[in-house]
Amino acid sequence: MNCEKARSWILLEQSGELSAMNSRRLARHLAVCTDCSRYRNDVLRLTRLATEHLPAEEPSEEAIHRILDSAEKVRPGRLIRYQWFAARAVAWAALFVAIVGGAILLMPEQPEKRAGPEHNLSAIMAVVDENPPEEYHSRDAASRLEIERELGRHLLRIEGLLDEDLMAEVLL
Amino acid sequence: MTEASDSELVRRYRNGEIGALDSLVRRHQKSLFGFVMNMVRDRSAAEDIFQETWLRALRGIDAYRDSNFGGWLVKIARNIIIDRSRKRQPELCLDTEDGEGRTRIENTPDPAPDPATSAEFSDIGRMVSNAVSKLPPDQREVFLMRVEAGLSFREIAKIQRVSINTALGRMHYALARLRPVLSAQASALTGSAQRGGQAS
Repeated sequence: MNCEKARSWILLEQSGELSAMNSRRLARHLAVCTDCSRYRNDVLRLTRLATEHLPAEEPSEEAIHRILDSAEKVRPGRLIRYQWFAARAVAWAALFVAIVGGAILLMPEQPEKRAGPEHNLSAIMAVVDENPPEEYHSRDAASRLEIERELGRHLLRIEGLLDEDLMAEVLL
Repeated sequence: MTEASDSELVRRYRNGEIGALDSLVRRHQKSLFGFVMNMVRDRSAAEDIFQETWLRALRGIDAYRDSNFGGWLVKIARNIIIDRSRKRQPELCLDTEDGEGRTRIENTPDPAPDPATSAEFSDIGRMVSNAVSKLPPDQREVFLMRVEAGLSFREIAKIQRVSINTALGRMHYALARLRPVLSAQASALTGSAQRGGQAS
């Protein structure tokens, strides 16, 4: 062990931070190194002197009372801790509402639902009911064309019903 | 009955028991005030810093984990001392002359304790006190944290935000600067022994 390391270990030993194994290694070094041994004695004497002779004043009672009085105002206590928990709960709730609200606002608008095929089919059947085949055939060409167009418009509104056979059936 | 640990007292104070705080303040008053007093060397300033340290500690008591409570207090006190010295520093230019042509450094009071305080100390005590006050701040801090506050080098290094080797190095330098005090003490002891011998 070199002397530089030994001197650091002397300080660590004094502060109780040196392991038992290293304390034994230090003791072995001190047994053969007079300089380090003298250094250790000086350190011990100096720290003892400082402990004994540095101003060992204490704060006034007034200062201590002021601290205790102030503590009444800032004391954490249970109430303050519950308030803290309540504040946290409110903050989490607000965050949840903000996220959900934001998501709803930012969601793309759904297209309006178009009338389903059932609705258009019943409209077609209504036209057919109003114009049974015998009446249809007895009408003039212009009226027949108007009925056909109306039925055609309804049929075109029905997705998947633009089937020629079905159209023909309805028209007949 | 065993004394309650610092952590236990802190827990009780957190639950609203003011008496626990009283015990904590009294347990740490000597080491904390000793550290502050020897750092600032002014009783009134030391009392202010002592109170502010406790108030900051109480406000931040929830941040305290089961580490060394004394070390935590010293860390807060040290920050307050640094804050105060920073507030004073910008306007402080040691070469600026006052109306009577004296520089600020000439006007700066001697860090030695006032005569009334000094009277309470022996010559060797005054010598130790003066020698410590003349140490560079970093070394003085390490020395006082170790000797007055009883902190470990690991804690000192953490507070100063340096490696443990740097903290140990600062202590070595501080001790080297204080060594002449030992020679003076040895001479004083020899002198008093001789005077004692002559008297008898």
